[in-house]
Amino acid sequence: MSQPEIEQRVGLGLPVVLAVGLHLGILILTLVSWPESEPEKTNTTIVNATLVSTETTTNQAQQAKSSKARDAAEESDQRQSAKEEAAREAERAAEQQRSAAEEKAAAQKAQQQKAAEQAKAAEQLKAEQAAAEKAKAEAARRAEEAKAIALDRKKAEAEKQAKADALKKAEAEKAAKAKAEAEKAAKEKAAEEARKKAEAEKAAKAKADAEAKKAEAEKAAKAKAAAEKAEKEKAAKAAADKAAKEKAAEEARKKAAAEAARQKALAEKAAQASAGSLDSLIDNESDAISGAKQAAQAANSFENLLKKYVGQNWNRPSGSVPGMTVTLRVSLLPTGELVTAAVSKSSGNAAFDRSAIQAIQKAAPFTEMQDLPAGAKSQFRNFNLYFNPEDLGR
Amino acid sequence: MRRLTAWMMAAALLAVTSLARADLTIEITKGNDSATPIAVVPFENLTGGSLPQDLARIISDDLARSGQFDPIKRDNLIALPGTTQDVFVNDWKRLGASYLVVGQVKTASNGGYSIQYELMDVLGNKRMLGEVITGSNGELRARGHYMSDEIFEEITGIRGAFSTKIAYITANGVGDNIRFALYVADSDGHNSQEILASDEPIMSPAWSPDGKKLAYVSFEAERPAIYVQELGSGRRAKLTGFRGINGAPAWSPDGRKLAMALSKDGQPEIYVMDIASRQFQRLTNNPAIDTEPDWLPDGSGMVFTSDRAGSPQIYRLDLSGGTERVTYTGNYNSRGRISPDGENLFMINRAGNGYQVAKQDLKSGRVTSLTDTQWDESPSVAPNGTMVIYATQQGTRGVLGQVSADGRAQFSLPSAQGDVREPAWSPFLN
Amino acid sequence: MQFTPYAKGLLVALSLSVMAGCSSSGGAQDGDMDSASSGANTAGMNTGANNNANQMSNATMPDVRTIYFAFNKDTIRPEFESVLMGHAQYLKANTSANVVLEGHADERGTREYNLGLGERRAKSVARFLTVQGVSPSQIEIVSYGEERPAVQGHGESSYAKNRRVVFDY
Repeated sequence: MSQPEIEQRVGLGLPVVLAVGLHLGILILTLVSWPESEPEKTNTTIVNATLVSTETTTNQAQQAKSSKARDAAEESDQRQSAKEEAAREAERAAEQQRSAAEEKAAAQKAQQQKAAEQAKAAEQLKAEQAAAEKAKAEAARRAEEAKAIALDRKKAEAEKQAKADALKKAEAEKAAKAKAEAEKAAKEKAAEEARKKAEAEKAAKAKADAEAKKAEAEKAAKAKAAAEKAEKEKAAKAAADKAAKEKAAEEARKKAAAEAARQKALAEKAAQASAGSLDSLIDNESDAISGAKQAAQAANSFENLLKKYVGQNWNRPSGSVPGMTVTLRVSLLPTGELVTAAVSKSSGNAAFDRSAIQAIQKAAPFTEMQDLPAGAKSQFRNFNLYFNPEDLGR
Repeated sequence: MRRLTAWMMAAALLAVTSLARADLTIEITKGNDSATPIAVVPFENLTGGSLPQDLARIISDDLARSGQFDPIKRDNLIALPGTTQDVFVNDWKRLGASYLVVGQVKTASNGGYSIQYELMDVLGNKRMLGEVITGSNGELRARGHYMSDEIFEEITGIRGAFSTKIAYITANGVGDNIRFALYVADSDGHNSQEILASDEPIMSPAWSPDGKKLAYVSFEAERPAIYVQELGSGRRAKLTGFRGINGAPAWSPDGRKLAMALSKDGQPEIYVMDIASRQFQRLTNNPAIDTEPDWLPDGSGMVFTSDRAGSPQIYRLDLSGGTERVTYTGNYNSRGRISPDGENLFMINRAGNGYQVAKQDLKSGRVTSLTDTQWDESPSVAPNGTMVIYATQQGTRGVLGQVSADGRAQFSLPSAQGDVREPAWSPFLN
Repeated sequence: MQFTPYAKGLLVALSLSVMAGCSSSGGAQDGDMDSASSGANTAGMNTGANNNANQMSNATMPDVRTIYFAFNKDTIRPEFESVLMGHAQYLKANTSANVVLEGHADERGTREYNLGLGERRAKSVARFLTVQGVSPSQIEIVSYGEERPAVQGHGESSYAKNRRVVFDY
């Protein structure tokens, strides 16, 4: 009985304590951490500013007051000593004068004190006003700064958004550009692959030809061997018929062995013969290749040279746009001089066409042509020049 | 068996003939663009007296300003032929000239001048153009510009714009004591004529499509208002007088309407006024500043400046409805001017710390900066689309600059008195 | 704790809104305006003192006729509020007086757009005056954009002196 009571008491008390403690904890946390998030600068500057300013004004007032009092005291001293000297000279009038002077001095002093007090009061008032105004200004500035912070935050967000949008657009442009470039690269790659493919096919074809020849030689040799074999068998049969039956088995065996050996020898010979013919085939081919290679290389380098010079001298008119192309029919002398250059396929724009003609007119003569081997030179006597600009910006 | 051999032989023949060379085609994919070298030889003077104008100088300056030509310096000319018959073409080939202009001036029977000029293709060694024209003393500059037009068009295929005019505004003074004036001059800045003078600001001159009238903004009535003035007679009419801003007049391509910015309803909006009926149509409606309209060449709409996105950008509105933003590069783009072929937009773009003339290709969106100065304003395109005139600063003085539309060449025009600003290029006048 | 950041934010926002509500309409301050602003400040304080001294007199027209603006802004800066108050008082006290508010901008950017900017500034001043009780019929607005600079020259010190609204009585 007591236990459940105790438990009940515990059950109620602990949660209450915990709850209160939780709430207190939250309160404390918010109160404690909140001042940190406030801009500290404003708090300290406000405090500093007020302190410094009030001190200086009161100091200044005190200094002014004290220096003024000092001056007044000096003045009155000077006057008194003068009065005493004057009184010494004329004693009769001196007493009256002295009293009059004393009265005057006293009056002046009173006046100065009053003036000093008034000045002090005015200055105090001014200082108070200044302090009040400054406090007001500071409060306003604080408010404005807080507002500015909020505004700046908003502005920053807007800028961020705008930047993100711009970035998006830039990325889209970049992607499009990359895509275009990728397409271009793919195009080039495809072209190269096609070229490679053509070359591979060529090589494969040559290889196939050689192999076909080899197969044919083998086939011929095989056929020959077979024919001879048949002949030999016939002869052996005839010999066997002539000879005794008993010797036939041994002789047949012997003959078979001899025939096999002979066949083998023949096959080897045939193989050698075909191998020999294959070797000579290969030798001939390499000779042909090296000669052709040199000519091709020379032609290639001349073509590149021509491309370079014509391109350097090609000055497109300002109305040119991507997509404009013109083809010229060009004829050169063996010396590399230009004979004719005429438009065979116009771009539709006379100025663009003329710029192409002027390009080759300016680039000629191509004296390097004289060093070309005859086979290569003949290519460049009459050829087409196709102007397809890739560098016209839009 | 016979048939098979025949086919094989035929195939072999075919192979042989196809192997025997296909015609070589060489492809050129890159060029080297630069201004074309041209030799303009001082015209031979057969008049017996001195000539009031240097025609060859007018021609070579015009061609240079177009950005497309690089005239050979006069000191480097090795010979001074007057006609193509006196030309040794190899001399000019050696000089590097692609083209050659020669001419002769004689006195004409009516007291004026008879001018013969010829254009020669040096590389192809053939005469391209030749003509005899006449002109009086006062018409010599105009004849020079005419020859420039003919030579330019013959070589480039583009109509020359050297015989056009420019309008501009000058200001002398500061604060409340400024004297303003509106001028019209030749496209090279010569022969300026005062059209209007005032103690109050004059702004935004705009040529009518027929080249006979100028619309402009004048504050002479203590408030900005839009006026149209006939250049021949000097007669003018005040077209608007609303409260607030009346500004940025822009003629429609058919010359019957004026687009403008009016702030009578609270803030500047784009309106179109039918000149004959004086009826107004409001085209924009938002709290932003909408101003500086410029019609599209086909009259279907216009571009204008708006800061509805926070800072000035250029938008396009279609008269049939719909507005679309055009500029996205940088956070300040204003004062858009469409090229005559409708393909490019010229404008003032703020980049880094300066305000510069820029060109945007309307198809690709690509933006190119055409100037590298800092306080550029008021770009205006020549009617053949090849040159742009604009206002800029030399020190603290306003001067006019000119740049070719491809950005290749920059020139500043001979500056008139005081501060010069707000140039406007006329349409073709002939 | 999970909601302390929110609590912080809420309390900060609460205090901000309280301060914003209590303070007068302020604006952002860009650009350096030392000499001009201090001049305006002392002038402002003088007129403030005068007004405090002579509460309801329709005495002299306020001396300070020009207020300045930050780059690309048309908000009234706090240091000019007393100047505007002075003009508002004067106009309310002299209902036959009319003023033309001339709006200006600095030279940067294009001219017609700058007409719009100058007009925005003049409108901002007009709004302030009418909120203070000045009758709109006494106020007229003209914008000169960059056409009438007070000072020639490039650079922020010149620009700051050109971004202004002028009271033209």
